[in-house]
Amino acid sequence: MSRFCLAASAAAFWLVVGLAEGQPEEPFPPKGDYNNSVHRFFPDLDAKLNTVRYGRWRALEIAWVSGIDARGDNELSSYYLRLVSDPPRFDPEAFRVAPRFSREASVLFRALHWGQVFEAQVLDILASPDSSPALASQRMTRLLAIYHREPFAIRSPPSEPPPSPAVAAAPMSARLLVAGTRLFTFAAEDLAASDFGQQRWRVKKTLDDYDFTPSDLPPLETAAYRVSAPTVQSRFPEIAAQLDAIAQLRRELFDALVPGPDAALSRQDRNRRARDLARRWGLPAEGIGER
Amino acid sequence: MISPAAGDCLRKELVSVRIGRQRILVVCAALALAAPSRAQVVSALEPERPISMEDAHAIPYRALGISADWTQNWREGRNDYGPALSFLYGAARGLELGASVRWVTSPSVNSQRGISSGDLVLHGLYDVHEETAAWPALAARVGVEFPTGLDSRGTDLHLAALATRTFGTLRLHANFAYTRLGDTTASEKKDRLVAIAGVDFLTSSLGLTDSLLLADVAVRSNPVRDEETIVTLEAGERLRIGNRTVLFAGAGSDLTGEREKVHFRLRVGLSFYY
Repeated sequence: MSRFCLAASAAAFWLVVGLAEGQPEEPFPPKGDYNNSVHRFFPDLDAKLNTVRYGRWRALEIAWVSGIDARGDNELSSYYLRLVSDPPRFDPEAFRVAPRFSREASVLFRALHWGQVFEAQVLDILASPDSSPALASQRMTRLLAIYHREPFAIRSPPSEPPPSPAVAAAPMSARLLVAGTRLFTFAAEDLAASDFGQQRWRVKKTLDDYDFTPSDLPPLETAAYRVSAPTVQSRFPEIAAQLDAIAQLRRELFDALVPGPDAALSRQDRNRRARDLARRWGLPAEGIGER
Repeated sequence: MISPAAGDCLRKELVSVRIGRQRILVVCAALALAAPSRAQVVSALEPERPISMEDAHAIPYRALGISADWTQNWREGRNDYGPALSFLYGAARGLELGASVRWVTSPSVNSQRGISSGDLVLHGLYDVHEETAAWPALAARVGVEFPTGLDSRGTDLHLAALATRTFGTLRLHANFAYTRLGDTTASEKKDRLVAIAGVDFLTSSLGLTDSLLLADVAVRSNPVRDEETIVTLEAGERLRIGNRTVLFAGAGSDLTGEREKVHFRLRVGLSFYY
């Protein structure tokens, strides 16, 4: 191969790199001995949590593409109920479950996806067989630092959330997703409040008793770690606050996609609301809804 | 004592080493810059894992991917087979660095026909443009193939442009690649072109991202002079069998290509991401 070829290819590659308008995207989940502990030691729990993860992304895709209405509510709830009856073994590749949301609102997508990675790692740390209070605390501190290093990490919530119109607009889906979100908090509490030997019994009892398809909407505050996971809240208050903030962002995004009483949500309104939401949470709003 | 002639040789070698270092520095500096990527396991398409096409995404930053496969080729009058290994690393955001090596039987015969065995390929893949509402994902790949195999000659340069567009659970891919061979026999072509169009889609009716079907059609220059272009049809599947482990299998057949035609190709392997 001639020097000219090598130099030309290096120059072309350099040019391409220079022209690239790359945006910072999330890295691979942080590595640690605790990785995949929930999947390895609590596969039943992991499958149920995966159901909720799929449900969330699917709900976001439907809400983003067609808004939140009765039709979308029916579509999501029937999808979710099929998942509950045959829970997925592995977590979703979110950008394939919510492809349009991921490319048209990539900042919000990344904020929620990085939040999902963070939540999964918190549970893995708590479920790790070698976990001791000191080691878990050390790992949580490292994890939180890595989480905050990313530009789309969510800081503290801007204010208390307003009453949620999405719950009224899509009652069936809201019921299922709130119940699913509450399962994360119960699982974290089970894992945090017992040692490795006792965890499996507590988790099993929670899963046996848990109603994944409640007939009434569970109180929204019960889906928060600060309420339903007192041990996590007392041992890792920053982690609990961070997880609740991620849940609040997701809820506010659903609320932002509820149309007005008279007309369907136009694409411009949707994009404007999503940009407002991103700014409110200190995330870069550029690019949302742009072609 | 070093004779003047020997001194000249030594100086030439030193200059050559310096130029070599400069080349490496230039390439490393280009590769050190970075941009976007996506967290994926099943959807991370690497060439020949299991079929020729790849997607326009680098593996995520800090991810390590290790793949191994076994390939069996049934050709006109002779068959060959062998293993392959590859390593990928997300060196920066949107920048993948990789190394791969493939061995096949009958290297001395194959090397006359442009098929390498045991050559080390190093590559950098950069996400040029993230997929947006209007534009597909675009990526550029630069690779260098070193003649580390049996009966190999010359260092080859590989350049490729990749594009991926998502439509719901389906993705379309287009790959265009150019290869410049450093050293060839009289019967071999020095420049080779490949164009691939492919599709992948999730097989689950619920849209679960655990199983992916792939198919492509590839049109490539025949490595032997004055022989017809090779058109290949391939299909395969990637199946997630562990949280970060993918089993893949693929099959393909060359529709044209005269004596260079592969009647049937079968490939099975595993990828692991950490």
